[in-house]
Parts: sequence; C-alpha cells; structure tokens
Amino acid sequence: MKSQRNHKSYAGYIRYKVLILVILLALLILLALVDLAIGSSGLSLGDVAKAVIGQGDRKIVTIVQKMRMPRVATALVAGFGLAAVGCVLQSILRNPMADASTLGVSPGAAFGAAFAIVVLGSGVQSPSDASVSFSSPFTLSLCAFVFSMIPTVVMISLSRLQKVKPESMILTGVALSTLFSGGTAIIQYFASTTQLGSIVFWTFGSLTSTTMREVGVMAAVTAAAFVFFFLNRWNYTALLSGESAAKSLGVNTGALIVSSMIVCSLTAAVTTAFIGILNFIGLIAPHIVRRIIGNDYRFLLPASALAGTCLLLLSDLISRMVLSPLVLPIGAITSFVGAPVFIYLINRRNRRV
Amino acid sequence: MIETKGLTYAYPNSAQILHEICFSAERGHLLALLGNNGAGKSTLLKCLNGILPVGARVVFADGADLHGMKRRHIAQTMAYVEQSSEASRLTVYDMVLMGRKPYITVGPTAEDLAIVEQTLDRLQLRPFAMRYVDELSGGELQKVAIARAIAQRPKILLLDEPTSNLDLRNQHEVMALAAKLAYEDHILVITVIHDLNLALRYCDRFLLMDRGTVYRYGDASVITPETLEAVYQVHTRVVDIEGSKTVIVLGDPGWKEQNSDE
Repeated sequence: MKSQRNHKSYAGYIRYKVLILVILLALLILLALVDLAIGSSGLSLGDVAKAVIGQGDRKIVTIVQKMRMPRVATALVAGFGLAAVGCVLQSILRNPMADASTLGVSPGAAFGAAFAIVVLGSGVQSPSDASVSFSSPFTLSLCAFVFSMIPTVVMISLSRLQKVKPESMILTGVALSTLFSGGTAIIQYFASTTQLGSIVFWTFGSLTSTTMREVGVMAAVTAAAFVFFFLNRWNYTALLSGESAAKSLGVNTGALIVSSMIVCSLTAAVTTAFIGILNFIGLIAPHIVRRIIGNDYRFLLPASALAGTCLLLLSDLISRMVLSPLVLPIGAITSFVGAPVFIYLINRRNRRV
Repeated sequence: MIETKGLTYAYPNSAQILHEICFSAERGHLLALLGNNGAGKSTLLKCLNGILPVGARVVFADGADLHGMKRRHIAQTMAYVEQSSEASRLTVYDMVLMGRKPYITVGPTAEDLAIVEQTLDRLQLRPFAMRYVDELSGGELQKVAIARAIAQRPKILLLDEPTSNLDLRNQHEVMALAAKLAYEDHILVITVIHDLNLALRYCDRFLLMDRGTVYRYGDASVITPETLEAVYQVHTRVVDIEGSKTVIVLGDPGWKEQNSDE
C-alpha cells in the first residue's frame, strides 16, 4: 500500500514535468504568433494564425510568410539550439556558468566576421535604418563558423594529448576567447570607419538577415544535435554526480564529453555564423527550468530548449516594441533580459548544478 | 569472485601508487581495505571498477576480464560509491533510479521502478523519495548514493569510506547494511574504512595495505598489534570485549618518550 502511494506520487511528479513542457510549448506558440503579428500592418493573432497555414487574405499571407516568418523561424531555431547547447555544456563541463561562449564560440565567430569584413572585403554594402546587408554574407558566415570552431578543436586536441579536467577546459576556453578578442581588436584597429561599423553591427546579432534557406541549414543542424543530445539524456544526468560515479553507472565519460563538445560547438557555431552573437540564452534558459523541474535531463533538455526559444522570441518582441519603429539590436536585448534574471536566479538560491 | 593479478597503477606524471597487487575474494564476504592515507586503497577500488585504467588483469568469476568488458557490462556487475557523493538537483527517487541506468535502453520499465521502490524501502528512504538530493544532509546523501548502488543489483559492491561523514548511529547502520548485503544477499562488498573497530565488528576479510602493496590479507587473525604497528606506525592492543576483537590505540611509539623529554 505504502509502495503504491509512492509510485503514484512519482507518476504525479512525471506528469507535472510533462505539464511544464506543454505549458512551455503553448507559451512558445503564443509568443511566435505575437511576434509575427507585431508590425506596422496591425495584424490580429487570428489573421496571423490563418496566414501561417496559408489561409486568409493573400496580402497578409505574403507579409507573414515572406517578410516575418524568416525572422521568427530564426528565433525559434536559434533559441532552441543555443539553450540545448547551454544545457548540455553545463552537464559535461559540470559548471553552471557554461554556455557556447565558454567554448570560445562567440569570440571566435566575432574574429571570423571581422576577418571576413576587413581582410576579405565582405563589408557593408547598403546600410538602411532597419538593417545592414553585407556584400558577401556567405563568406562572412563561413569565416565566422570556421573561426568559432577553432577553440573547440584546440581544447579537444589538448584532451587527446593528456586527460584534461573540465575546469582546465573552461580556463582554456577563457584564454582562447581573450586571444580572439585581441585578434579582433587588432583587425578593428586597421579597419576603416565603414568596416568598423559593419563589425560592430554583426556583433550586435540580428534575426532579420537570414533567409529561409539559411534557417533550413540551422534547423537541420539543430535537429540532428538535439537527437544526439536526447539519446544521451541519461548520460548527462549521470555525469552530474561526478565523472567517477558516471563511469560506475556505465557511462563512457571520455567519449561522451568529447563528442558532446563537438556537437555543441558545431550547433552554436552554425547559429552564431548566421545571426551573430546572442548572449545569455544558453546560460539562463536551463537555469530557469532547472529550478522548476530539477536536473533530470529527460525533461530538463527539452524544457531548456523550449524556454530558450521563448526567451529569444520575447527578446525579439522587446527589441521591436520598446522604441518602435526603431528595432534595437537583439544581442543587446538578450543581455538586458538575461543579466538581471541570471543575477536574481543565482542570488535567490545558491545551488550546485 | 574477483581476482587481481599483479595490479599496478601510477597516476600520470607521478610516482607509482599500486605495486603488483594480487588478491582474490569470493561473493558473500565483506572485505575491509585498511591502511594509512596514501596507501592506495581508494586507487585500488577505482582500478577494480575500471574507473582508472589498469594494465594488469582483473578477472571475474565467469572468467571475464575487466579489459574486454564494456562499461555498461561492468556497471551491471559492479557498483561503486564514492567517499563523498556530489549532490545535484535530482529527487532521491530519480537518483536511485539512476542505479538502473546500466539496464535502461529507452526508459525505465515497471521492473526498474519496482527495484527502486524496494531499495527505498530497504534503506528507509521512503519519506525522502520526493525530496531533492541537494537538500539532504551528508549522511542522508551517502545513504542515497548507496541506495543507487544497490539498485544496480551488483555482484560486487565497492564502498570508498562509506562511514567517513556519518555520525555514530549512521556509521553502524551503513556497516550493518553492508554486512547484510554480503552475508544475506551473497554479494562481495569491498569497503575502504579507517575505523578498525567498525571493520572488526562487521567485516570478515581484511586486506592491510602498506605503500601500495598488500601487507597482509585474511580473516580477523591478521589484525594483531604487530601488523597494525607495521602498517599504521602506532602502538595498539587487541583485546576481546564481549566476544568481539577490539583495537585499543595506545599512540605513536615515540610520543611518550618525546613528551617526557620536554
């Protein structure tokens, strides 16, 4: 009888976590619709919902699907991917402060972008109030991607030479980040005013510069990464008890850490290459949901990804609404939203991951 | 059964910790690993579990060699509890469920959940089942870590100083549980322990380690003032109290003389 009661309460606990996932999904859909509706055309949520599935006024369908959908789809995919990456990195590096920037992805990408703009001439072509387009966005993204992967390659090479502890990996990431920041500063020093403006604009991050084809590339990489992460959900939970404990539970920790690092930096690098640097999404989304549903990666992983998407959509809404019609840089907004939330979370209850 | 043949281990860039360790132990025994700090006891446990890579052979009853075994298979054979477990934001139920990880392919089966519940009952952890592990005391956390290891249904259980953070009552509770697992459930329990009297009260096999080697191995008869002085460099008396061998520590051999000089 006693046993049955406990089983029920565990089943209830599982139901509670499923309910949280459903609520996050509903919130995501609502935020996505609101984000699609916001703009000068004054669309209702009903109009937008119909337009998403290709019904209703053709003009509205065009506005929603052609003009606004790429931006919202970018936010959906980028938020999902960055948060999932942060969630996994916090387990494998066993550090609550870990996210894609811990691996040096962001400074590497910024250096790559600066290199492409100044050295390879992918600089600004047609600045306007709302956005800046680059003369060679493909070269820009490619350079950002290649350089953002370098810190990870260095870290993994070091770990092949001798066993590297998570703390050493984090410190190596910090050192490489500083190195890339120094490199970016040198490139900026020799850049023209226009090139300098382009570099700064790129580092702001932008959800509007991606086409649906680019979103497709991001989505394919993110989806494949998420499948990999989800297959390892039990391993990530085990790793939180320490490497020795995880090994004794049957986890091949060395292979798990290296393969997860590669998948994490690949996902973050692709996202950052297309949209620039977005801080805090990967850091705070897992922190928020961890407080609600705990560290069980079966639920923490999808919940973090959904929460990350919601945060990015919310940041996009704020960036468009605060000084409308002016659109503020999304990267600045994610920092503005993320930093206070993060300070609140870590001070309210100082817990281990 | 477990058998090591010439087990040697050195940490990278440091001196050798274990030298040619040879011993074998059968299921149904509770083996105490005794010795000074730095004697290599914890390292030996990690080598036995394959957590640290060993060059020598560690062979199991069915002839399987640790070298050729997958981690998942090792985890189905052997469980390991660290000296101090790391607390994360998992419920006690979920933490014990992690013990079923070596058996889970997609999700936990009804059998996995039943084993978790039996384990919770056995260790009287039922009232804590839905509490987060990072809210527990050190003693409670240690018990949960042992519960997770029991849920693995191992044939061999390795405990690294399971009583080090516990109060007197919990020390005896944990050792009584280890004894039950060995003598009633017929598994081999190997525990690193510093309290000689606790070891003498519950264990039936004693492996005295000295600077990475096996100094003595056998039943309680290996615990004598001479062997203890050789291993721990302290004077002791071994007396019989109510039918139980008890060690009384008299202190450092040179301490009295040094004190009287002053």
